[in-house]
Amino acid sequence: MKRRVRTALAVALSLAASGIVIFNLSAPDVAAPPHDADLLVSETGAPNLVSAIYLDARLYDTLYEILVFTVAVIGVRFYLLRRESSARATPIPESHVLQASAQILYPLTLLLGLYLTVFGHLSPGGGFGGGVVAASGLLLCVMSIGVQTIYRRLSGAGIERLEWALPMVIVAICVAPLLFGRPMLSNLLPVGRAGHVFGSSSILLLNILVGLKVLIGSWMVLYAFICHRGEI
Amino acid sequence: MISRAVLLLLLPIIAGVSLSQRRRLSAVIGMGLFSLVLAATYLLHSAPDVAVTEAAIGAALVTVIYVLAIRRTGRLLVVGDEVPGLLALESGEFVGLEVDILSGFARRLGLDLSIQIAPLCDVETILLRGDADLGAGGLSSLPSVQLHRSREHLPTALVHLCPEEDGRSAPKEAPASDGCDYPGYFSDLVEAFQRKEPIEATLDMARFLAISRIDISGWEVARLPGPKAFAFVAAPRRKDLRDQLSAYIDELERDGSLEDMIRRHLP
Repeated sequence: MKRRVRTALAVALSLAASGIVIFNLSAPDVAAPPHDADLLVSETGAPNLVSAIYLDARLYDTLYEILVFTVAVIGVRFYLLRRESSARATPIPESHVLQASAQILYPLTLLLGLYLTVFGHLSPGGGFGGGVVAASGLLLCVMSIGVQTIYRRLSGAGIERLEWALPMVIVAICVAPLLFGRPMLSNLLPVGRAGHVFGSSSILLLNILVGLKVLIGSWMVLYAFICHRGEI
Repeated sequence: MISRAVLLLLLPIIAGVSLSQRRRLSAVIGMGLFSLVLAATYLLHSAPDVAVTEAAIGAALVTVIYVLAIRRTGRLLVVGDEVPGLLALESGEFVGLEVDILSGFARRLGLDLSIQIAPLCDVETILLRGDADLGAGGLSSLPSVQLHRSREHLPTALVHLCPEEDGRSAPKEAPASDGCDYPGYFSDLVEAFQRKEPIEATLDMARFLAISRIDISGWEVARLPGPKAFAFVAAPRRKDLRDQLSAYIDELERDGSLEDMIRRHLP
């Protein structure tokens, strides 16, 4: 049953993804970006033009970037975690200097990652960079606490299910405007005052989703590497 | 404007320096530095978004993944028991003849030498399991056919020690093994001799010299026939490493530095 649900979800995801491609190729004018920078800012409410472009006007490109990232993470998991890790070598212990400094640095790094993600539409940053910074923070956390403890805690919080769900949520957000009779990939959420944190709620939401996706994906890749190659 | 030019000039220089590094860790750190300078360049060219991503991915994450990857391959993992003169731990540092040979060899290969102390009887198992590249620490006989024995670097001989019993001499049977043989760590054996426990052991000359500094009256010492020599052994899949090490020892002998090392560590 569970397997069937998963297969159905996977098929739905790929159908939606290919549907977006076909619609966009046949109708290239859908959600065409305005060529005026000021117009773009007022339309999206995001003073950071870069995020206004890649999470609003050109959401199409970003969507596939996320899907490519998802496929890459699945590949790493498939090839590294499936392999026998029975012949695990004796661990190389971490030095105390590294442990102590990692303990101080990891909350700061996680906070910086959160800041970059949440304020991505106002200042340089965004979900991709913020997610990677947060993943580095998680790595520092691993260095000070230990990889298996972190892994157990994150798995207990259902991180794997979230990893599956996030790309689907993002695709759903891209397809949802169709239900309201609007072109695909258009912005449904209200646009507020430009320069305000909630001035551009759709970009904020997408940044948080992308940041989470990148954080979890990078963690999966790092965990596979740590388990298979070296040890922290 | 000048800072932009300086950073752009730095990029090929850093790239060249990190490409020319022999030590893998230095090369990886050089790549991280390259990413950091590249991120600064992006920032000065008014692309802060790209700069943030470049710094996070190039300088942090990729460097970490490379460091994880070379954590084992960037090291020459040596396993062996402590033997005074050959491989010994003195105030946190390894010293001895074999340590000198191995650190020179590791430097030539661009690897970091990492020595793990294990009981003599476990060296073979660890090498067969693939947890180390080389075995050291006074190996005078080839423990297994699957392991590759390097060129010998120091001749030695074997002696058999057994406790004297009530004035009668103990039966002089040849020991089962044709090499150095004792259970556990050598340091445990030394302590057992100090406590005067009645132990039987076959030792090579380096170990015997260390033991004979303790009072060994009450033990019968018999020299076993046949010349022996110390050598290194390489793990089953590291025949290439064995050949390189043998060539390196040859070279050391030819230019006389092997003799200097022996004189320095085993006066």
